[in-house]
Amino acid sequence: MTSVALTGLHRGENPQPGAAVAASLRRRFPNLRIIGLCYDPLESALYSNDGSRPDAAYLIPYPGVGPRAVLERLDEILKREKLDFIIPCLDSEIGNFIELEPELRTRGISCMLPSKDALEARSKVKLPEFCRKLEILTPRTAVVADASTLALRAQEIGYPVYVKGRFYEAHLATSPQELWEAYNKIVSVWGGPVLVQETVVGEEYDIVGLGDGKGGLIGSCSIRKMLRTSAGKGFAGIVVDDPALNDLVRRVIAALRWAGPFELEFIKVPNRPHALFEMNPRFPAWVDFPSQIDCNLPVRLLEGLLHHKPEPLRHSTPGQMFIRHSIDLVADIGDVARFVTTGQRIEDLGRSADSAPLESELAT
Amino acid sequence: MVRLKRSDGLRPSLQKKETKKSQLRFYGDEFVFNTVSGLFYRISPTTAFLLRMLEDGVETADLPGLLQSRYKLSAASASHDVALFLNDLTALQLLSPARLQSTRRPS
Repeated sequence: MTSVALTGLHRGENPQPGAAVAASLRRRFPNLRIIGLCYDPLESALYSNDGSRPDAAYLIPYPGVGPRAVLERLDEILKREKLDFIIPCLDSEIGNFIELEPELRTRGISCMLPSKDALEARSKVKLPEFCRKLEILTPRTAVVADASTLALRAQEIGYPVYVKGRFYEAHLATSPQELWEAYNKIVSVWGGPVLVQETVVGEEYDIVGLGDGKGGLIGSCSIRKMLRTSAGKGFAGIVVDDPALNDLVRRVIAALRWAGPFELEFIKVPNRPHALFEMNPRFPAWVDFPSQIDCNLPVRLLEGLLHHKPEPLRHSTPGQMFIRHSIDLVADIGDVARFVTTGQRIEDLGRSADSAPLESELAT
Repeated sequence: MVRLKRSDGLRPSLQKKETKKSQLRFYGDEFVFNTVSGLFYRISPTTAFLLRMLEDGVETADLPGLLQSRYKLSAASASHDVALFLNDLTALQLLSPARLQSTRRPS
């Protein structure tokens, strides 16, 4: 039985992509064994009742501890679980998996990942330089390592500004006081440096896609964010077909020779071209939307890893849209307790013949 | 009155391209979706009529006459309504100022 390990299984206020990737994969491969690699026992997909629920889940160390600790934990997991493929779904872990790719290959595990250079070139810190080379608009951004430089740069850019963490989190600051608070919040959680970025008001466009690693685009779907949460996350989106936007996407992917999943985020100010303000090195949390309209990019990724003849991807039709719908999942504290105390959770949902119930394992 | 109103209550995104046939999708006479920008509008039937005319390649200068004959308006009312309509289109960048200037007949 083929097994795929996924991360990013929490669909909370700021939904992670893993559950959507799992659901997408199961649309085509219902019997695929999906392994959750989790950082927290409360990652919501562990308690879901649909295709997003993993067959088994294991706690792994946070990406910040580095690739060796991740590999050690994966080696422990491999003693009990066969892993054929890993699809990392969180920004902060991609670097570790790039480092580990040769080691993973020796263990029979395949991934589709960008090169280290490509990952670095699109980082928040390097994005302004990358955009300048490609002559693509991007919001004015400065990288700062201390609070006093931050205040200077914010003054130069002009309030209001966004203060952003290197990987996650962004706060709008309308005054030096708010700037200071935002800086402290981000540095205390994510460390430095931070970015200060001009506020650009306009419509936001997101593109999910898959690069072939040779400069080509395997497939993509573009949406306009119709509803945004207070954190700027898309809560509803509608498919668009904009030749100018499509051209920008192709240029970015060709320049990076990007391999694997990506999400490009553009903002369009009236009377100006689209400005690229972020590129994420993984599928977005809304990836199961195009999967439901015959543009299943996670499946296409897996088909590539399996060397299968790919199913044709349909070009998404403008006007098709999604609205996110939050629901309440029922669970039992016993489920949490088992995961916390053992670091693993094995389910038998009728998909796997070889996954023994955890109780029998504990009894032996 | 022929005014466009954003249906989702958000600030409109403006775009450079002129209105093209393939870009606008009508849902009856009161709702139109722009497939390029992803923006949609609640519109009046009169607006739908004028937008469809533009899609069919009618010059902006010919719109007052068409509006007048369709709705039995006075020439002054038709011209006034078309002027407001074109201003709205230009503000929303559904019609470029260049096209507006080049196709408007001198009064």
